[in-house]
Amino acid sequence: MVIRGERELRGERRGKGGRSLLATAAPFFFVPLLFGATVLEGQAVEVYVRGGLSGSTALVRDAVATAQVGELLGSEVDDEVRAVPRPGPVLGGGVRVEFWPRVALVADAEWARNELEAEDGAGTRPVQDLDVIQVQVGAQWAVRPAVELGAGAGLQWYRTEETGLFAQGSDTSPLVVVTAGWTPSIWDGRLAVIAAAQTHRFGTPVLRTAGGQDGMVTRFSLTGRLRLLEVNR
Amino acid sequence: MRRLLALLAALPLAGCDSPTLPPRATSEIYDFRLDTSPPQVLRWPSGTRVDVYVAADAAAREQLLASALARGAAEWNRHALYGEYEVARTASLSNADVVLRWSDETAPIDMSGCPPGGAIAVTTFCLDDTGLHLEPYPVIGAGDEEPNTVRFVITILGTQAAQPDVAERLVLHELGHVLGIVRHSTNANDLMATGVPTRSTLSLRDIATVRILYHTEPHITP
Repeated sequence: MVIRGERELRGERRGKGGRSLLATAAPFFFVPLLFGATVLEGQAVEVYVRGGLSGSTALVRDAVATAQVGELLGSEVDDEVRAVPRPGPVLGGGVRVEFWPRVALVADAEWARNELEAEDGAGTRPVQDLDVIQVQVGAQWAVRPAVELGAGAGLQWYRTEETGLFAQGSDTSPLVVVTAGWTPSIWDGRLAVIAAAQTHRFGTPVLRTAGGQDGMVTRFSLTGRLRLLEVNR
Repeated sequence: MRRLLALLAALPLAGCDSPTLPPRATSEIYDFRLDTSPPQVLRWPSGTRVDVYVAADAAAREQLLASALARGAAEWNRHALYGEYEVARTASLSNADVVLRWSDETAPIDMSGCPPGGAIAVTTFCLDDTGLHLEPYPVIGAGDEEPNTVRFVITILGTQAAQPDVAERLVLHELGHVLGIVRHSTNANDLMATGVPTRSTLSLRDIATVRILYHTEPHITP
């Protein structure tokens, strides 16, 4: 018991490969912050908010039953059930720090609300609301004066009622993201349009208990980014 | 830059490797169909909320049934992965789909046209003239204009009130019949086996069976 207590004090948890959430998340956030603190002086810093729409590929594809089951029952059995988050609003915000004339580092957080829907032979029906929270750090390159491309990594969480697929919660998922942005020559360049695609590994304890396998889910968003504050420009 | 563009293009493809659930085989389920000739599938339409009204004279006996219903509904509901059904309690008899009652008390509905059997616990329903739906039970004292929505009656033998744990398992089992598992499993380890249930949760076969049931085209809907 004492040994286990000491392990937990060190941040170790069973089932996470000995890594605590803090240890997993720390490199994403604390390293850039520590690095940034030493070099921020004199760098252009921009604070922004984002808002728009997000969508996702299917969270689960359920094959339901073998062909023999349908033959045994003498009735039509669904070929597949898909659980798909419906497109919904997304809000976010973050900080961009320009390190070189055309390169910026970004720390960003966003929240999205999607309604999970089931698609099967009976049609489409709502299942439950999902709050999707993601934090990420990355870099952006201004490939042209009004065009930027970016890439990053981060973490994502699904927050929802503990029922159905999420009856026993869900995992914290690492993600990778790529972005493309366009800044129109209006309003002093304060507004930009950002398209993002991120992919993460998804699975829940319920899915695995039912014999399922984790897989990759891709989320998309199209947001407008508004610069709120800029220093050292 | 080309690498970044290639990554952008590859991300949607990565989503093709979606999380999956494999198909269930015949060995993982048991026959849930109504024992007619030919056998028919009876279940609620997908996405239905099944409202259960608890009828009991004394507060203590009502509480016992309500507690059993709450546990039973939670157990069945947590295996509806995609919102196929939801079992819930209703305080209003006028919009109830199911009445849960003790056998030794007067029912709030007229059961003369479709009376319950004499088992320790029984779920009763009757087909209407079309054979495609269930006959509604008239609510006693209701006017002609008021709709009848009760399609199932769960009757628990009154003496079981002295054994709350058994009554709880019986209600859990009967809720399986209400959802459409209208036959008994031949495996004694399943909740839906014949006789007094020995378990208070669904077995893997019960879970697979109700999941298949709610993705099978029904012949009869309540």
